[in-house]
Amino acid sequence: MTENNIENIKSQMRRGVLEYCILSVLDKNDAYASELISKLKDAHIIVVEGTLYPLLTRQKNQGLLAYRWEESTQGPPRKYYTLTDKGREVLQEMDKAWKEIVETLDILRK
Amino acid sequence: MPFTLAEDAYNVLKVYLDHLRRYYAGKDGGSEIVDGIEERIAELLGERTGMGARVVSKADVDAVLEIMGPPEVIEEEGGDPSSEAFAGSPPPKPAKRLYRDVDHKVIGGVCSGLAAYFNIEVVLIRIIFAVLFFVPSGIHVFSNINHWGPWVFNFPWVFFIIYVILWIVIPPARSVEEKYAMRGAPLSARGVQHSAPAPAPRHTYESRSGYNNSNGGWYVLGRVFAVIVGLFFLVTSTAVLISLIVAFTATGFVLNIIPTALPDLISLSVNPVLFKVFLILAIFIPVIGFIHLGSVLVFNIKGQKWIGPTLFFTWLVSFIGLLAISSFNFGHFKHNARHQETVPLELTSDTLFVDFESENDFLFERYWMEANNSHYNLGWIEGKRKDLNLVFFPPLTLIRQSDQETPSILVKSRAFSSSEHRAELEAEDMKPDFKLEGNVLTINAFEVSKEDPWRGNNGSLRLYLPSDQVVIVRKPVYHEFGVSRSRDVNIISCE
Repeated sequence: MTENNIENIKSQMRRGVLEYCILSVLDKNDAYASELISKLKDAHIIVVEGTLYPLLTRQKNQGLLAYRWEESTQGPPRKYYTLTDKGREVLQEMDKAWKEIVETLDILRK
Repeated sequence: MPFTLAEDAYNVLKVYLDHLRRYYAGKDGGSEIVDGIEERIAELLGERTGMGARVVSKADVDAVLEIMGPPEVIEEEGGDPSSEAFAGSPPPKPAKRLYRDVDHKVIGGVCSGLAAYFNIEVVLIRIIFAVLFFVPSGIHVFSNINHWGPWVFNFPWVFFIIYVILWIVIPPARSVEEKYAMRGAPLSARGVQHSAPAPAPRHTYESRSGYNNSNGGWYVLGRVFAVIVGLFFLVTSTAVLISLIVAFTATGFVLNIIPTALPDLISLSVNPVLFKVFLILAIFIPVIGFIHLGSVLVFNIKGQKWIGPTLFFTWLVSFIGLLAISSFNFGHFKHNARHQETVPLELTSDTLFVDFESENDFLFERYWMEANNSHYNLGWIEGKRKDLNLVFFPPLTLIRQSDQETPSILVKSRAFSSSEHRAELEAEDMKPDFKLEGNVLTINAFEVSKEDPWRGNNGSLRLYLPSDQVVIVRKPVYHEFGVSRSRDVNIISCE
């Protein structure tokens, strides 16, 4: 297996859980984009920031997210993302799915 | 949030955002995505530059775009996982279109555009066009006007015109998209970063960059006009240059043969070498200046800034030098004096023979002569090419008078000098030298002093003789005055 393929699988795995991660972060607190980015970056789930924006927009279009504008003490007003009810439902589904995957791996590794 | 960006930084950023905007154009929530990214870029740039306190450099933009990630990755990541894009297929290839590659143009970018379209080496196309330019069109316009006609008017204008037409009809690749469509290559922000134009003035980036489209049509018209004018300058000034070179070299001898011509004038100068250098510079520099101007116009190259002023300064120095030398020489011509005396002739025969004598041998190959019923003037050129000398005689004029009057010879001379007194002395000194022995009148050549060439040879002889007196010049060239078979002679011989 070439290095390229490994990278490809890794990035697909990361991509697969990225949306789940966004929902998880927003579940605790509403956040604006930069905030979200720094959290995701700290958790090493994203490498480049640009990828987040298409995902946010898609999740918003799917009705998982909503946003509101809030004045900022510095700079322009910020777009605060928040989970919708539907987003919370989906997040619960994902939590379940994640647990299942982890269990699957645990079983397989035994 | 306003930013000031260096030109190269602006270009890189514009390419990046244009790319994303193009990709997301028409997609659901597309503008929102790009706006979000753009806002984040502004935020990061603000952090780097202290909220826009300094000009954003290309390094800043590069670093921020590094954080944002390449457009391809963003597009891929954001793609619908169920769609093919998720599997990482490259964006569709844009259609290839024919543009003029104005970034790599020599004249109008036609050749470079064709090369990009057909993906061939541009040098090849240029060579082909250059050769085609010189292929005769076969159209003979005005070819009967002169013998140069077929060559001049069968000039290869056809391919020139084709080039100009291509120039007009093919649009220039100005925007980033056009530049990529010209090559048929997918748009890549990274690729363009390397070919971004050279930095120049700054743009203000207001967090949303506008499109800057230069006025293509007027530009082309202006270029066509510039090329036509430039070609005219080039062709005419090159022709003038060639003829000047020919005149200054090949025909140097012809110029020498006429006493009033250029080299003779130069011989008057105190410093002939300096005079010649100044003269050549003063004449050639404007021509070279026009050739330079022509090539700047035709090839649209940025002329080196120093060329114009240097040419002008050199020309000015030469011109002033010429004036100075000339005025110095004119000092010698400030005053002139005439000397005139009449010497009676005692004739012993009804035939008078005239011999023109010189210590130099007569040169048949290089003499000039004017002779008719009343006039005889002759001279030749002595010496080698570099050290030419004129052998002159006072012009002889024959005036018929009545038999009662005394035959006589009028000796006239004229001299120039810086003072009146010297001029008078010199005029007397310069008087033509002759003697009469029996029935032979011997006239000696002028002595031209190399040291004082401006003393001039302004002397002449006038013979006042009765109408039946026969006058025959015996040497160096035979001539009989006033006989029916004598004719007007005008000769300039050349070796």
